[in-house]
Amino acid sequence: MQARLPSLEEAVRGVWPLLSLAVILVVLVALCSLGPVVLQRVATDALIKLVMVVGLYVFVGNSGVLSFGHASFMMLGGYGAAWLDVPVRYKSILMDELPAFLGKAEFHPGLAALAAMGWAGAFAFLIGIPLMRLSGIGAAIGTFSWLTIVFVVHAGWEEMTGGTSSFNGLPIYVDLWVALIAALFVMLVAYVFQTSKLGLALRASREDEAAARAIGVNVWRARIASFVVSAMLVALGGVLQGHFLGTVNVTQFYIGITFITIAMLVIGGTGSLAGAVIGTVVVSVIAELLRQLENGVDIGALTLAAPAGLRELGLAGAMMLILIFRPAGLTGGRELPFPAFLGAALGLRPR
Amino acid sequence: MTAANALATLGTDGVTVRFGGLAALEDLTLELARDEILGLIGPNGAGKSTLINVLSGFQPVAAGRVYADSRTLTGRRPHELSHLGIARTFQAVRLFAGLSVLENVAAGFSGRPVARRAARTRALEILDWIGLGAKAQAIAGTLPYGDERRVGIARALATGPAFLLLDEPAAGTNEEDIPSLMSMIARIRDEFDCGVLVVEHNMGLIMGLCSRVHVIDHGRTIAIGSPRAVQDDPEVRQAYLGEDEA
Repeated sequence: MQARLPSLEEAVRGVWPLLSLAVILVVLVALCSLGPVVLQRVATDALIKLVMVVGLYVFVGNSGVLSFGHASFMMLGGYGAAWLDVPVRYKSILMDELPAFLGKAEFHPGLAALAAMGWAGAFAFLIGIPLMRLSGIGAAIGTFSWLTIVFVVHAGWEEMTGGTSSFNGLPIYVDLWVALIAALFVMLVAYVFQTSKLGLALRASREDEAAARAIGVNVWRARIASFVVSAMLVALGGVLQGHFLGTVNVTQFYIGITFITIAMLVIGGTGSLAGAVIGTVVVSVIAELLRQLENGVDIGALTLAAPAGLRELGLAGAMMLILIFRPAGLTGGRELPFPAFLGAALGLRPR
Repeated sequence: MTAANALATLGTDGVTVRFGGLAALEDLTLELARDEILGLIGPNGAGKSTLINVLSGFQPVAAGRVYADSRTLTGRRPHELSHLGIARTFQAVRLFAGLSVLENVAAGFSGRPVARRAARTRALEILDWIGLGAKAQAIAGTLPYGDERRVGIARALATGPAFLLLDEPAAGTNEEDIPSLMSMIARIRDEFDCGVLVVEHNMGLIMGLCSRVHVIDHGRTIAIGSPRAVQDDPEVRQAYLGEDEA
């Protein structure tokens, strides 16, 4: 069979789902960059969430198996990078019980980030071997149990992590642009993965596991592969979070972040990259508006403040409404459609 | 479009399957040759689908052996059997409803050393062959029933089978569409070089298409032979009459 060069139409249609999302994101970020510093920080935080949610999507979206355990990979990533790139002068004071090969070493933050992703990926591979035999509620509970294990080990291993207190001194290199580049990178990886042969096989198993096995898909192996890729991307999210705030803490990578990342994915639609991206953007905007309401809005001499906790209530409510009225999420699990006007402009035939 | 492997026969040797205490298949021996279309018939509950599940690795056996030529395949998992050239369709079709028709068929290349782009090109060729090229971009879940069954067959063909097991391919098909389905199945054997096992209730299709018919009832073989010989077999008549009375 001869390999055939793709036509312009195929090429444009092929990259459209990724390109459209990337353009939307870049425009939004450019607008935020013109705003006040507070807005830029909110947008940076949202982009870090985007890295986590798209990473989560690589596994959950393609395999259709829910994971409540992905915060463990943020934790492994955040702490893994901190061990490597926190300056020795901080480690010697704040973390003086670290083993010498970490305590006396200081690596480039980029190298630390890569190593941290590999660290999380290795754990995902090992735990994936047994966990990826599970589906449905079993997988949800199994992955959550894994998160609990990782949490307890990090919270309890004082010498390595500082226990339940924060591990400080992480070099702060994450700003709006670093977060944007990371988000675009993660989206690219997710899109390449979902359009690969393995990604298609996995999405087939999501639709019908028995039929996928009948056409030669080793579902277990495909799930492990996506679990590892997904864990590495999510770990990058943990690394970014730590190097945005300058600190990592075990509670930062536990129930709260698990809930919010799943809410973002579910609200956007678990079945598509567009769902992961749009869900993160929409939820981030809603969450920020609710947070400002909590802080109070000045109306003349009056300050109206909503009760604290409104943000969590709002998100939980939004997730319930979506699950009830639009279970496939805002995007319905589809990628953004190729607009007809663009096809006409490029001289492509309509389909 | 010939399959790459050289297997000539697929079969079961004295296979028994039990659900609880009940035997769904009892000491069943069946053989399918690469160059034939074999009909598998029997009253409802005779064990026809169970046999397809055994041959495709979905159903473990309590006793007996599954084989292809001299290789024992008992206990192999479905994806391994697919890689060896055994493909099947499902009575309930089971398309990947949320994926496009093209993706459904391209996914059939999952276990084969075919690059992504080549898989799409070849999937399109198979869709053209089966008459659904124009619907390649449609979402599979939106297809009418007859098209659904054809996509199911196209998806199975994409795996490059040496043996194709069709579970009630004519179910839900209008009587006037049966002849075209029959000619398509005949062309599958000739053009894809694969042996076909057809489980079907439509006797016209079985009698017109199959070179040989294997009849089972209550999980046991009651007759094997030409369509005509089987039709005249008293035990076969008894089995079907018995069903009618029930």
